[in-house]
Amino acid sequence: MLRLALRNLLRRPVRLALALAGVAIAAGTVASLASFGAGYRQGLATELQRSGMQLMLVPLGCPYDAAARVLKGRTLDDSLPAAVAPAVRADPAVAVAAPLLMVAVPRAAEKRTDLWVGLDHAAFELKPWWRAQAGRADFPTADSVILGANAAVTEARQPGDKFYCPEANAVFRVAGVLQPSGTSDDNLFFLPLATAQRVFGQVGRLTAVAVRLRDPALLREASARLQRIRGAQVATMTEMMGTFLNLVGAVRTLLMAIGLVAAVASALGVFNTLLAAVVERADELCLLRALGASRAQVFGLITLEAGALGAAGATAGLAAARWGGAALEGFVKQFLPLPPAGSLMALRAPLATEVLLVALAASLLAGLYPAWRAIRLPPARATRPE
Amino acid sequence: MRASRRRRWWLGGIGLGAIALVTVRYATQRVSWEQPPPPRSTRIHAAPLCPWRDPQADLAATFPQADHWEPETRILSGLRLELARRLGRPVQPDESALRLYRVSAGPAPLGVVMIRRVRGDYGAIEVVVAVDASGKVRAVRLQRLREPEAVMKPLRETEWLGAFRGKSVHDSFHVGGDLPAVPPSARVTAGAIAEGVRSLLILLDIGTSPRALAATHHH
Amino acid sequence: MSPNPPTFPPLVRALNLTKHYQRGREQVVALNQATFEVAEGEFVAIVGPSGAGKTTLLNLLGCLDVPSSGTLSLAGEPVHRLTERARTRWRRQHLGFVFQHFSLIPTLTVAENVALPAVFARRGAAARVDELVQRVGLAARRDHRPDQLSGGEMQRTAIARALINQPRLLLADEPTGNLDTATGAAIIALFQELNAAGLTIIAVTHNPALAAAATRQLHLHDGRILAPTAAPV
Repeated sequence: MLRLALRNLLRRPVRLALALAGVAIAAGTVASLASFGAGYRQGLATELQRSGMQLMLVPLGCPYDAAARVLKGRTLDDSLPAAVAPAVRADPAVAVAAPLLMVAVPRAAEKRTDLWVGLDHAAFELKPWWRAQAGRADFPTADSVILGANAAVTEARQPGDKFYCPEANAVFRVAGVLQPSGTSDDNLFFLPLATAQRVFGQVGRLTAVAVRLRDPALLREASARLQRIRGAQVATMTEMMGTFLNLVGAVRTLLMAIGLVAAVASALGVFNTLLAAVVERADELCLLRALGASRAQVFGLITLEAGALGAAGATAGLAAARWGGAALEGFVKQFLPLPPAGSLMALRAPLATEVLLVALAASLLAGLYPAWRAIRLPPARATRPE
Repeated sequence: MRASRRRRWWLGGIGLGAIALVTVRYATQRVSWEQPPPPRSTRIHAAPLCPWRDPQADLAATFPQADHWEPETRILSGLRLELARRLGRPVQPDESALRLYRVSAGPAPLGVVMIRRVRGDYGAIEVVVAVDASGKVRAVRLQRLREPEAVMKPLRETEWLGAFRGKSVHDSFHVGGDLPAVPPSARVTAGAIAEGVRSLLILLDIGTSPRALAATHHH
Repeated sequence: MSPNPPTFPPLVRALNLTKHYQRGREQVVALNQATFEVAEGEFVAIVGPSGAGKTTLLNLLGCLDVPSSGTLSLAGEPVHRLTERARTRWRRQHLGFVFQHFSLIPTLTVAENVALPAVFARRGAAARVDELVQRVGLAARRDHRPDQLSGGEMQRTAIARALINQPRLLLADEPTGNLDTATGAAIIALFQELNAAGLTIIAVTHNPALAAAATRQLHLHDGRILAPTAAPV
């Protein structure tokens, strides 16, 4: 029976290939999108958790855009007054308030941008996992600089070396090099906050204040109070993640709709392939009935063809999703707010199984009507084929 | 008749899908050419190979007639003893392989370009060395540095980098002897550049010997 | 009732068998009050002009269709009363078919085509397939596809297929209609050989040679069975 079904499918290779391609495209699209969503959520959660804070005070404007820039080590166009930091620290729910100043220095001739971050001791409390792979992870003097792991490599610096900033015309002394963290920290140059404010002409200004609360449960009431500080607004990490996920969710819904259309189209493809096969093979199916095939057997034959088509197509699609996933990822990452450093795609076995089963079910469903048509054929037609 | 019409519809749909897929793939590639992805964090502690940041500008200044260049990697880890002997010092981690760019005009090879990141006094200096087909230095350029003006000014004023022109691996690179002297403030920087050029010429000499293992990477 | 009582117990007993179709507004009586018997071991040729109802009769005998009225018993079983499912089972167990156009499945080999009814009957048939393929003289062609066979070879494959489930009755619809005379003669000889071995055969045919080879002829005209021509048994 299986052999008969497979040979029947192979009888029309072009039609088979098109139907298979349809199923494959649909399965691949749906699998990529679903795995993409899962991977993105995971990556984002990791990134936010590594930032070590629950909320951030940023200049007025779009708070999430500002927060995303700060997290990715980019500078803001606006800045906060330095007085925001003590005001935040005064709040009873705040455990750590770390004022940050970020300065991006583009150096067009060398095709790079230096990213300087001014920190005070509070930042070290916020990131207790910071470890120096060489030297120390704090500022022994006002002219100390700490380099991220990648930054130390590209600048060929070791602790004790001089490090010059042409734009500020200031020479720093490398205090330490951080261990790689897998975040944007790896590419940054860290200075004492006061030094950064002075050399970059930003005295009294901040880019953001990162806050860790005594208890994450206090988030709601603390952000309500902090919201009243003048000249700043609150962006909480959970809201931020929610906003990103919503944004991504909207895009995903749209893409999913496309995937769904592809799925329906592919189901129609299977439907059409089988229906055409039934119409075309009507005489043959009648013959099978005459030779003693029961209706159930003929139904089973067509269903088997549908199932084989769905399974093979979905397998091909999943393989393509695995293989083409990286390309899709590179494409999508450019449109994402806060693209995580890690991989977005997470095509795991349960998801693949799910897609396979759904494709199989859809194909079988699409095979129902052709199969029904097949069993309605009169067996008497076998003696006088049309 | 009805079936064949339906089939045509369906074929059209699949065709559109295929076109869309191709478009997306094409767009993906286009975008990735235009905007290289931001640097990923890596856990490689050994210094990665220094990229060639502005091939067009460097080639215009060194091999203006060049119309083609191709990267090539030579693995030197099997030749450490000879390397150490020729360098007269221990081999550094980033000297276990040599990345070079072969420059040509049509079928005619013009020479090679090599990049080396050296430790300047105030930050990394990325040295670009262009060597002609006979193994003589054609030009030395600095694609990236953060030395203060006080250091760079004497080097520029004496055309110090120009003194490398015509030197080969057999020459000496002593600052103040074979190369013009520099004021004390620039000595570290000048020494680092001179050592970078000297070591690249030695790496090239050993790396293009038949014993070196070629691992050619096409761009 | 047949005036010439068969010497064997009747395998087929048709009484006032009638079949009419609706063709547009017109009612076509394809078979009109056909009454006859076929004994076990007979080789009956159904002859008559086109449109006489030969194929209709064959469809009824083959349980491929149900009569509009009248009764049909096969081996004592009133098949005109059977359900669709039971008719399928009956076809599968007791009937073998040979068609004018051979009706082989193009994607299957000779051996696979022969085995097909056994697959539907869920019987193991490997040994019997070999035996039948041998018997119809296609051992060398066992793994060929139908498009690699001659007409005679195709029809012999179809005959082997009809025999796979050891039927009591072989129904043949113009079995030599698409064959040249020499090939047709070989098929007729094969039928005679099978009949001699005890198989009951009913064949619809225009071929005088086949009709002559039969032990008896049933003449159909305008859906009626004409006065039976007895043939020596």
